[in-house]
Amino acid sequence: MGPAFILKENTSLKIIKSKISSINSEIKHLKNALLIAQAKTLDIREKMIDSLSNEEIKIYDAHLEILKDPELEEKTINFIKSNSCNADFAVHKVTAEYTKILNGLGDPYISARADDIIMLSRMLILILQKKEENKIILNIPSIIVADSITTNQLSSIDKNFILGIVTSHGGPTDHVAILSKALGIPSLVGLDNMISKIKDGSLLVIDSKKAQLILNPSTFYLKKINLIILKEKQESSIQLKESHNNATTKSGTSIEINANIGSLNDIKKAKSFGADGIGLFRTELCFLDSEKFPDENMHYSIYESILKEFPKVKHTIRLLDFGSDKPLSYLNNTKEENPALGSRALRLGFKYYDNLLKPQIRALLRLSNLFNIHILCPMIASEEDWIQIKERIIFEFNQLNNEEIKIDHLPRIGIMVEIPNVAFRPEYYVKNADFFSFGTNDLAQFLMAADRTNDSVSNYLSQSKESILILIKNFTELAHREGKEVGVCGELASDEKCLAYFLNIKINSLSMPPSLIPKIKNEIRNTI
Amino acid sequence: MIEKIIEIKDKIGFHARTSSLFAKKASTFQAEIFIEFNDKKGNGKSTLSLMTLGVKSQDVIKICANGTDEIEALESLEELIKNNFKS
Repeated sequence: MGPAFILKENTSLKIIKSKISSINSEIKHLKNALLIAQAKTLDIREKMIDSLSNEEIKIYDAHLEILKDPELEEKTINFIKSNSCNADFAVHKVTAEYTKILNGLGDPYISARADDIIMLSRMLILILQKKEENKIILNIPSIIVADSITTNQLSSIDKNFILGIVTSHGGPTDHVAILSKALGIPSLVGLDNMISKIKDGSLLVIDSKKAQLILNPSTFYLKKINLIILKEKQESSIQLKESHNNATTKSGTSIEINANIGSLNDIKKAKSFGADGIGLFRTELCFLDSEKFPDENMHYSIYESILKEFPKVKHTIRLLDFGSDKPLSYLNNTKEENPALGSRALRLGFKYYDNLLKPQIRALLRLSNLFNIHILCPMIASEEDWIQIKERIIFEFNQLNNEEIKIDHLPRIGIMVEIPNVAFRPEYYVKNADFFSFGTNDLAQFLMAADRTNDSVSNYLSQSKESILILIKNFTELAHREGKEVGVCGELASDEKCLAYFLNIKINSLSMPPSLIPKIKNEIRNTI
Repeated sequence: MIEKIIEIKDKIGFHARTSSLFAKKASTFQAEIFIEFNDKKGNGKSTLSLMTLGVKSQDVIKICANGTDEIEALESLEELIKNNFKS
């Protein structure tokens, strides 16, 4: 919410074709302008690097690349030579030709790049004409209203003065839309005619949740909005401030609060919401759209790109838990009556070992040189299951080292305790596995014989809570005697009513969706 | 000069990211690299040029390389395409 600031059209450009005396000096001007534009772009990139993730910083890398493009330079030089004209006119003509072709391809992603070219072309022309872009000066925090705004303009304004951005052109894949989202600035793009009705200084409200722009809001609406904003601000600022510290009770018991993740976005949230580490990385979520078995390099590059967002913490990574409930084109799996009890997770993983488990295990082992990786094995039903997977991981470890891909040390390998047969008999496992994580959702459905995807019976699940807590307690006692850690990563982990119990039995970690972390940490700090 | 015909398996084709990866790889070679597609010819070392070709998934392109390291260049670019632009 804030006053509108109408962004005036930029310094209008006059690009006139004129005869020049020396082609060579015009080419020199051009080369010089390209270098200056590159330096300016690098400068903006440096300024933004702290507020953006690697993915978004790539926008500036793309700009640099265009400015360094050999064909762009070559074409412009040729244009100057054949027309004996000024460099700014040549830049204008050549870039216009590119944007025309790119826009003609009818691909929104490519069109967005055409917008980048228009902006960079402007930048080059201004440099060649020795002119400067009008500086955008905001005296009070405002909502910027414009036909369109370029990433460079956006980068030049003090972020504390931008309350929001509304534009008449553009779509969600625009660099501006991506940047404003990353910077946490509410924005609405592509509003068309609505923009023309806004007067400079008039009050606007951007409702991001509904993607609506409210012009001239009523007093009643404003009061309501103000209360909501105030409350949200207070809560989130307290939460965010505290969530990056450890969660320790008043009497000094500490517990790790980790995040459940399945994507790049999730890990960014995990970091910003103050997770201590990653307690459960559901790797299968990375490959639901894949058209073929992900190979070792695909596993490696996807995990690497995700983990490096939050690198210096413990990463507990669960091996693929696909089942017949997730139809995958590359898995020729037959439909099963009860997919939750069927050929899923490691059972499926061993069926297609070379294509499914082997590349993942090898990728994780290689990544363990860079990150603190803990491998979590799902759906372990028996001692036999456990021996089989552990031996395979050790085998792949030795194999990699034989191939002279040196893996520093074997990562910790743990069991996802989710099948009653394992939960009831910790004695064997606590001696042989490195750590444990209770998957309470599956454990509940197996204990209650109630399908958790079936609404008519899922009310049974919550009634298993007492039994599960007893199982966790017994397991934890024995595991701690062997010096092994136990965590909880199902829904119970974020159940506030169970917190005191978990603290009491000295559970080592709880893992939950990132957004719940600040609240749970807060709860723990208020526990004696 | 040597040339090779190859199918683009990447889901989208030559868009901004893949063009850039291709151009970067191509630029590491001394040889001149050209892409022919639909009667158009693009400079393999230029991201902009590659984007303007409008190559989509499943399209078949011809890569031409001309220079002392043309064999290596072609092999390495072919591999890049086959790996869906993951190097």
